[in-house]
Amino acid sequence: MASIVGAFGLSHILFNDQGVEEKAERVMQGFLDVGQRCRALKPDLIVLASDDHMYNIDTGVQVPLAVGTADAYDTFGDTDVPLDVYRGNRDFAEGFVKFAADKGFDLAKLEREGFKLDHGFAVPLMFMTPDQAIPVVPVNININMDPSPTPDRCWNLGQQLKTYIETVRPAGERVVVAGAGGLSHWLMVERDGEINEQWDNEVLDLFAAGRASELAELSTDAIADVAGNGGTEIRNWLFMAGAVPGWKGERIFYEPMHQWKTGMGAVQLTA
Amino acid sequence: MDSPYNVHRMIQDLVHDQAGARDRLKDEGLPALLDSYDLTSEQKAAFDEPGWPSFTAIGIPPIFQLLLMLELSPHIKSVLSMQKHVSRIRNQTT
Repeated sequence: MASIVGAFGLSHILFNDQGVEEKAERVMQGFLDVGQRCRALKPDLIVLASDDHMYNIDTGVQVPLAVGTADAYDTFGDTDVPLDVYRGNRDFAEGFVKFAADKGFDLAKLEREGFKLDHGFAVPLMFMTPDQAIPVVPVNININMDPSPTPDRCWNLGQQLKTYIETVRPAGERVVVAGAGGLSHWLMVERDGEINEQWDNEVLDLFAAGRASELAELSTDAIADVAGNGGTEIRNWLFMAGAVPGWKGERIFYEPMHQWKTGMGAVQLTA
Repeated sequence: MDSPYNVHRMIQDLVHDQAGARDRLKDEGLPALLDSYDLTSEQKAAFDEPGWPSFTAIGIPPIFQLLLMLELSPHIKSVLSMQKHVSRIRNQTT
């Protein structure tokens, strides 16, 4: 059977470091560490859950959960992300969509022209597969629509991914699962610019302790109350953790980036 | 609240440089752009004091607000830029 060989949760922005050089350097070192750890696992593909920032999936057509089924993906280029092309894995992605359909998840499919990877996907991938050699299956969790997928729904979809990998995929296939976004931030709402460092640290500790399922029991509104509207991106991490229930791990870094209006961090979970 | 979709469509066109939205903003100004999308007087008034309170009041989602601000105030793009880091990422990790 195939197997999940590693799991990561990480933030997904990197901005101008002017005036915050030392803090940005710690973020950079954390991201570089994530990338090195990921590649050391020698994955055949990366399943990356993140959220499009309304560049592809806006209010014209609103899709709660979607999987990239294309052979390749272009980057969108927002926040000056380089225009690169990442390989996809159509066989894996199409199979997952079919598998999930039998388990109560009707997932939309995303093709190359309809889904360009914005910074939410591209920034993590720049570190995880900087030469674009490792194929990627993007999972888009639409946190921008109302209502949006609940934390437990994201966790449960991750569980379906685990079962799919372990029961359907070919023996020897090595998969890294990652969830990207957060940590706490209030963006363009009341409390705009705030960060909740206590929450961020508690979240990182829960993931590292193998207790992320406790977060999946919260409502989206409850998370937004303590982590901000942007902090609900932790649902992307919950998808990752749902695929590796019980796995524990370690914090790779945490940095409260007030100038970037977000808490930033990463964890690695292992079997 | 009036349906916000016309405002959303305007933002989408600005972001994707469609329907001449960027050119209209640049050449004819914001009032002309707002007129071309049939925004209501309440929606137009929100642009008198651009920011999350007024934009939220007319139903613009937070991320769309950010994208709109990037179009209206392009200098923000330099703050939200990772350009300085790109060569280092490529050099250290490939």
